[in-house]
Parts: sequence; C-alpha cells; structure tokens
Amino acid sequence: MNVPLKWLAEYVELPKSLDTLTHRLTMVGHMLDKVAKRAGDTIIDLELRGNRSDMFGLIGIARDVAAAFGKSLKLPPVSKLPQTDPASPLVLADKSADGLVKRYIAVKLSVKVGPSPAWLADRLTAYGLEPINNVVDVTNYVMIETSHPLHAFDFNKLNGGKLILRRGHAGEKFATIQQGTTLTLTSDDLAICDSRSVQCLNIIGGLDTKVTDSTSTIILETAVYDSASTRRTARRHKVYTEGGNRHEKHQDPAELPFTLARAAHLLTEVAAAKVTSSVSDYYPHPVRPTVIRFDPHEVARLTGLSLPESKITSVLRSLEFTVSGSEITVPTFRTDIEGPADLVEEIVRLIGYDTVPETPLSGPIPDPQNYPVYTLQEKVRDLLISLGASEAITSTMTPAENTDSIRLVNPPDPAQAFLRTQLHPNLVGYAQKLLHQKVSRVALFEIGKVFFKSKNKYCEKLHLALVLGGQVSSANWRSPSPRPTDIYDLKGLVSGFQKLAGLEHLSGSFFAFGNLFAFETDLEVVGPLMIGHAVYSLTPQFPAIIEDFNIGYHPPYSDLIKRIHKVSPLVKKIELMDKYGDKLTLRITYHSDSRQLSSSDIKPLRHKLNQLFPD
Amino acid sequence: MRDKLNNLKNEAIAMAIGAEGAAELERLRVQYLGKSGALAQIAKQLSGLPSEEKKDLGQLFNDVKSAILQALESKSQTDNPQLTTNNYDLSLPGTPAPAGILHPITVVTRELNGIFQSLGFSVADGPELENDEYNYNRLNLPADHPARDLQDTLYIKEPDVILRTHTSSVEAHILAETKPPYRFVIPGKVYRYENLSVANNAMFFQYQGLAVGEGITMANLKSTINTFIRLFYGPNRKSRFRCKYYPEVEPGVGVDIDCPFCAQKGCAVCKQRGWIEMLGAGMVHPNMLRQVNLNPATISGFAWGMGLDRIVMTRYGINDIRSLTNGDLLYNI
Repeated sequence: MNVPLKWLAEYVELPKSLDTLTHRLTMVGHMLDKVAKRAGDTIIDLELRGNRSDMFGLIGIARDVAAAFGKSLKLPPVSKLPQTDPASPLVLADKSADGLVKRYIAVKLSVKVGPSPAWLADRLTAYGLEPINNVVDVTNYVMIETSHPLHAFDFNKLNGGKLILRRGHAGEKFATIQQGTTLTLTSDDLAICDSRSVQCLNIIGGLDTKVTDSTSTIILETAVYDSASTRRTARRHKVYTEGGNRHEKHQDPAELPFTLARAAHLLTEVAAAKVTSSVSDYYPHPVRPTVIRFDPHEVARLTGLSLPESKITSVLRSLEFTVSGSEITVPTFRTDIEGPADLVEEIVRLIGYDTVPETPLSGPIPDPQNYPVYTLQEKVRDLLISLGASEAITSTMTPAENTDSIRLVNPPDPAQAFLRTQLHPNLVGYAQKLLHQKVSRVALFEIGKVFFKSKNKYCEKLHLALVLGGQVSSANWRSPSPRPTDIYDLKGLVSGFQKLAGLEHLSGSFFAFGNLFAFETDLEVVGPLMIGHAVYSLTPQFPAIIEDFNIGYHPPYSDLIKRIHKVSPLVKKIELMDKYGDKLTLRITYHSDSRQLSSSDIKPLRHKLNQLFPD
Repeated sequence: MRDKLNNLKNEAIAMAIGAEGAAELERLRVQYLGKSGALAQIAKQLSGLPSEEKKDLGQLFNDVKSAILQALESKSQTDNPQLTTNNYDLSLPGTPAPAGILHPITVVTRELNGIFQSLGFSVADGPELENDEYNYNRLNLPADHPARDLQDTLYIKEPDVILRTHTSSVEAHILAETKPPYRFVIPGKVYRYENLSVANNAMFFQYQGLAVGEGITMANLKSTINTFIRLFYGPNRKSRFRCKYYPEVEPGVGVDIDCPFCAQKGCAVCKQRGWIEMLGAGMVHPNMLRQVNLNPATISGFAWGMGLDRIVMTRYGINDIRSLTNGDLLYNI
C-alpha cells in the first residue's frame, strides 16, 4: 500500500526520521517495500498483511503508528448525517443477496461536479490514482483514508431511484466504468442494480450511472460485502481494482457510518454538496465486538518473554483494546483478532520481537525418528555417487502422455501438461543437453516421484533412474579416444549398485535411446530389500584355483552361468574375460571354505564342463 | 617343525627390519625365499610328511611365507620412497577418475539436516500429491482464503486433488499422525502456478521445521533459528525477527539476515533494505492444534519454512532458478 507521508501526518504525528518510521513499521509487521517521491510528497510502499483490512486505509496505519510511537490518533472531521430511515428508501436487498452483503449504507446528495481542488488532486496523485472529478475523487480519497471503498451513482440516471442488491442472472451483461468493458455475470456474482439492469458490482462501478459533469444528484454508498464472494467475482471476471482489493478483505461494517459521514463532509467542502435524504442502512446482522478471556501468563508461555501485567495492559490499550480484568474487548476494526494467541502477537510485536530471549529447546532430545523413505533415498544417493554417477533433478511435468498419465488442470507451461509416469524420459533429455554441451561422460541418476492414475485413484511412487552416455571417460593423453559407453557400462553400474545395496535381485527396466542408455526401478519395491552390508567378508583361508575356460556362446549368457554353477558347489565365481564372435572365455574360480583344493579336485570338474560344453 | 617355521619367521622379520640398503634386502630375499632358500628347504621336508600333518603345517607354511614377503616389501618401500616414483614426471596430468556428485539442492539439504539433527530434529517426508484438507484446511487456510487462489495452486482435479504448494502439508500430516513431543524438519519439492522466469519456477524446494510439545516458546524458535544461521552462514551474520503474518502461525515471525552483499548499505539484492528475507516462522496456530485434538492452552509449538532454491543459488552463484532442473547446470568434476 502506498502511504503518502504528508497525508498520513494528518492523522498522527510522525517521527522526524523516515528510517525511524519505516524500520519500526517493518518490525511491527508492515514491511517497507520501497520509497518513492511524487506530487511533492514522500511515499512509502508497505507490504501489508492480508488479514489487516484496517491497514488498507491511512487511518488504520496511523493507529499502528500512534501505538508504536506513543502518539495519539487524530480523526478527520465528519458531517453529521440525518437519521437512518428504517424503511430504507434508497436500498432494497433481495433475498438472493442474503449473506453476500454484510452492510450497505447510502445517502442522497445534491452536488456541483467539477475538477477537484489542487490539494485533493495532489493527494490522489501522490497515492497513485488519477484525479477524475471532485465527486469521484472524494470517494477515492475517503477509501484511501478509511479503507472502505465508496461509490457515487448519478441519481437521475438510476431507473426507479433505488438500489437493488441481488444475485446476477446467468448471462446478464454489465458495462463497467472502464470504457468498452462488458462483463457477463453469473448467479454467483452480487449485482447492485436499478429497476432495469446491473449498475455496479462489488469490484467495479457501472458505465451508465457514473458521475459526469452533468450530474446534479448522487446516491453515495459504502458497503461491506462477503469477502470470499467478492474475491471470486474478481477472479472470475479478472477485474482487479483498488476497491475490489479492499472488499476482498475481512472488513469492519461498524465503521461505515463514519466513512459515509466523512465523504459527505468532504463533498460539502469541495462539491457544494447538500444531503437531501435520510440514511438507508441495510445491516442484517450487526457485529458485536469480540471479547477474549486472556491470561497474561500466555505471553510468557508462548514467547518466553516475561512482562509485567501493567505493561501488557498498556500495550493493549494503546491499540484501542478495552481491558477489564481478564476480559479483553477487541475493537471492531481489528477483524484479525480471534483469540489469546493473537493478543500475544499484538503485545510482543509492539514490545519488539528483539526483546524475546533466545532459549535452546529443553527436555530430553527425542530419539531420531527419520522417516525410512527419506533414509532410503539418502543411502541410494551415497551408493550411486560412490559409483561415479551424479545426481540430477528434472521437471515433474512432461509433454508425454500415456493412458495412466495425470493431466494438470492449469499447467504453467501448456506444452508440459502431464505429470511424469517415469523418471528416465526427462533424465535422458537432460543428459542429451549435457552431451550437446560437450560433456564427455554423462552418468546421472535421479530419485523422484512419478505419478499415475490407477483404478480412478491418483497415485505417486518413488522411482530411481540412471542414465549413461558419452564416453567411458573424458579423452586424455593416456587414452586419447576412449570408447563410447554402451548398455553394458550401464549394466555394470546397475550391478555395482545392486552389490553395494546388498540386493539379491534388482528388478527394473533398461532402455536404449541411440547413444544414451537408461535404467529405471521402483524404489518402493527395491528399498525394503536393501541390506547394504553384503559387501564385507574375510579374506579366504584357503587359496582358490583359477582357470580360464573357453566355450561357445549360445545366448542367454545367464543360462550358461547357471549350468556351470550346477556342476559343483566349488565353482565360486565365473567372470566373462573375453567375447570373440561366438566364443567366450570364462574365468572360473574354484574355492572351498573347508580345505585346500588340489588339481585332483578340479580335474573331474573340468572334465564335466568339457562334456557339457563340447566345442 | 612348527617351532622351526615360527622361529624362521621371527628371525626373517627381525633381519628385514634391521636391514640397510637394497642390496642387503635382496640378499635376505634370496636367503629366505629363494629357490634353495630356507623356506624351500622346509617345503621339501613337508612333502615327506603324512597327509594329515602336511595339511596342518601347509597352512602355517603359507602364512610364514607371506609374512616374510610382506616384511621385506614394506621395508623396501619405507627405505626408498622415491625409488618407486623417480622415473615418473608427476607434473603430467593424471588420468580422470570417475566421480559422482550430488545435486546442489541435496548438498544444502544435507547440511541443513546435519545442523538440525544436532539440535534433536528428525527428517520427515510426505506425499507430493495432496488434497485440500492437508494442503490448506489443516493449515488454518479455510476455503476462500486468498492464498488458495487457483492461479497459485496446480490442480489435478478441482478442487480436491492438487500438487502440494508448500512443505507445510507434511506438517499437517505430522500433526495428525504423531504424538508430541517431537521435532521434525521436512525438505521437499513443491509446486505452484508461476510464470516461468529466471526467478520463478513452477517446481521448487522448501525446507520446513516443526517442534511441538509442552512449554515450547518463541524463545526456543529464536534460539533454533539463530543457531542454524550461525552454523550455516558463519558467526558474523546478524539476524532480525519481525512480526509477519502467515495463516498457519500466531504469533507470526519473519526472519531476515543482514545483507552480505552491501554490508547493509542497501543494494539491488536486498532491495535497498539492508536485510534479506530468510524465512517465515511462528508459533503453531491454535486452530491447527485444536484440529488434531491438542489443547492449545497446554501444548505449543513452533514452525518455520524457507526456500532452498535461493540459498543454493546464492551459494553457488547460479542466477537462473530453472537451471537447477533443466539441464543447464554443469557439474565440474
């Protein structure tokens, strides 16, 4: 919110130093965004809290400044308005508007429309609004002052001379004051109408009844609407205005008579206005102030800061709370205050969060209870980097689609509208990008969620993917042209992981994409099987006998290995040393844990193998 | 025979330790391990023994042989360290050793986990697909709260199936499923509807913390966060705690650190403020405690949340948030 300081100073005495003011405001909850100069004033832009509707008016800001600096608030002068007419001649609320309007208050005035005096125009310019004419400018001025948007209708253009609050009809058209913009309403929109058509919404005024140079009589209104319905209307029609933004907040209906009287006062001053009607006030459920039972010890219990009760009371009173014993009455403009914790914040923010002590958490340190699924991911990361693979994180969104894919309703990038059902496609794309950057060896892994529909349910699973590409190492003076990686390098990486993870079996799928190779597995299946300590054993007590053995290659290799293992339990290890055409050289390690093997032990096995695999 | 072998071993090791010069070591090698050396003599005797005894002593024989060999070799290396390398030009580059490194988000996450685990926090995890209840309702963000705008949330099925917009959703799960006292940190991926740019990505990372129990105060929050800032950024960083509004906490806290880029004189990074917004925090909102049947008059807790991407980007000098996930980040290993 833009706060012109000379204007703000109308309501409270400001500290001399700008830094003193903005620092204190920042600390009590209204952070300074930036400082600007306009129309002869200094404007501070404060980041306001969404729950402080009162701060969207300068009087609300002045209240916090007054409390923060121990000053008093000066309210601006108002006109005395005529009595409220219970017949409410200017406002008729239809049943359909129940719940959408908290309060709607209006009065009729005669006016002389013309340009605003310089002081008024300058103030609006300083705030950042364009001056229009004296009547419209006063409504804007009082909105900035009080946080309550007002609207002036040209009374002579209103059919039936009365404002009707009702829901819009589906498809009903409404021309806004923004030239040429016509909205199509729904029955969820609140419409403020004359006897014929919609003349105003809670977010923007209408073209037909706007105040022009020829306007002589106005209905001036200010209102509090249901904040959620206002917000939905603004989003639905994509119309964002100063007024709509304020009406979206939880506003205080009790302040509306003041707001109307203030505007009447200014109109009298700058537009020769005269009130020509009684006040119409639609206010179905008048608000009652919130009363909170408050134990002052709550301050220490929640913050660790001990304060004398008198201090607590004086801070609350400086913010216009009424303190009577343990009963705290909340001023109605503080719609954000619901319970004791809110009062604690009020007290401590004014005393200063910097006065809260620093106390380490006490009590016994809880036993570590890291989630197993997190621990698992960390372990997998460690194993894979030890094998020379690096971690990547790729986008969860993907253009690819299959029958199980989940589609986003509102994808930020329409070309990436689906959630990935597998990790490796995006990871392969990522690796490809690195290869284009002349990275010579790409070995990547990703741990992440995949998403899919299953039996009309939306599911997620933790996957692991590996991608290998490029050369087995970067070219160097010892091997100037290293060979390209192939799927067996990936197989080696996967086997290495399997070994380190202590997995007897690792289910997963291999993929080949030209010169890139990928593997993907479901970590939720693999994870619980990981034992991780299978890699340690003592050096063998008895030496092994190692022999090379040539056989013909008849795929699959795994079957050959199985058959050789079956020959004898003394066959401990079979390594593929060479593959030339359809010939394999296998290195077989014979070993016994209980005795020293001699060539006489091996001879019959060799014989058996020769029989099994004749050349 | 057994004694003979043991004596031979001890004698040979003693000789090896006392030996001076390569020539003497070579002489010892021939004396013990040579073709007609001491061990070879014993081997001949062994072959004549009955098989049971031979097996037994054979094992010892092997042990003695390797012990002597090792003693001679290690003596040779310690005596002449340059002997093995003086034929090499070690200023030539080494051949590349394959190395794998972690994603920078993981590196920073681990560092944070380490700090908070030392303070008694455990690491929690939760789903990325969420529903309205856990992403919003249970975080004191009832329907029609401004933070729930369609433009911020990535919907899978309106209104109830979404991608989590913050790691606070895991906080809601912990509150619902765990009995206090507890302390958790929650690193995680989150999603928002964002116009993609160097500063905004639709997928990014948060780091959440939560401690709930009796007697937990904002003073505990301050101590925990300041310890983290000291350990993570070094002892010279200053912090400030100011009032800030978040629906899921009351009182709410914004934590800033002094701008390290301008010594607080004001620069583009800190938007001329001298301070950089670090994280949002506060005391767990009483409505959230009530929701899980905890009495806010006796149980309290604090929570904080921060973005990881920006911490990572500052640390590694990365100026485009998208490069953390789109393949533009090179690992220089």
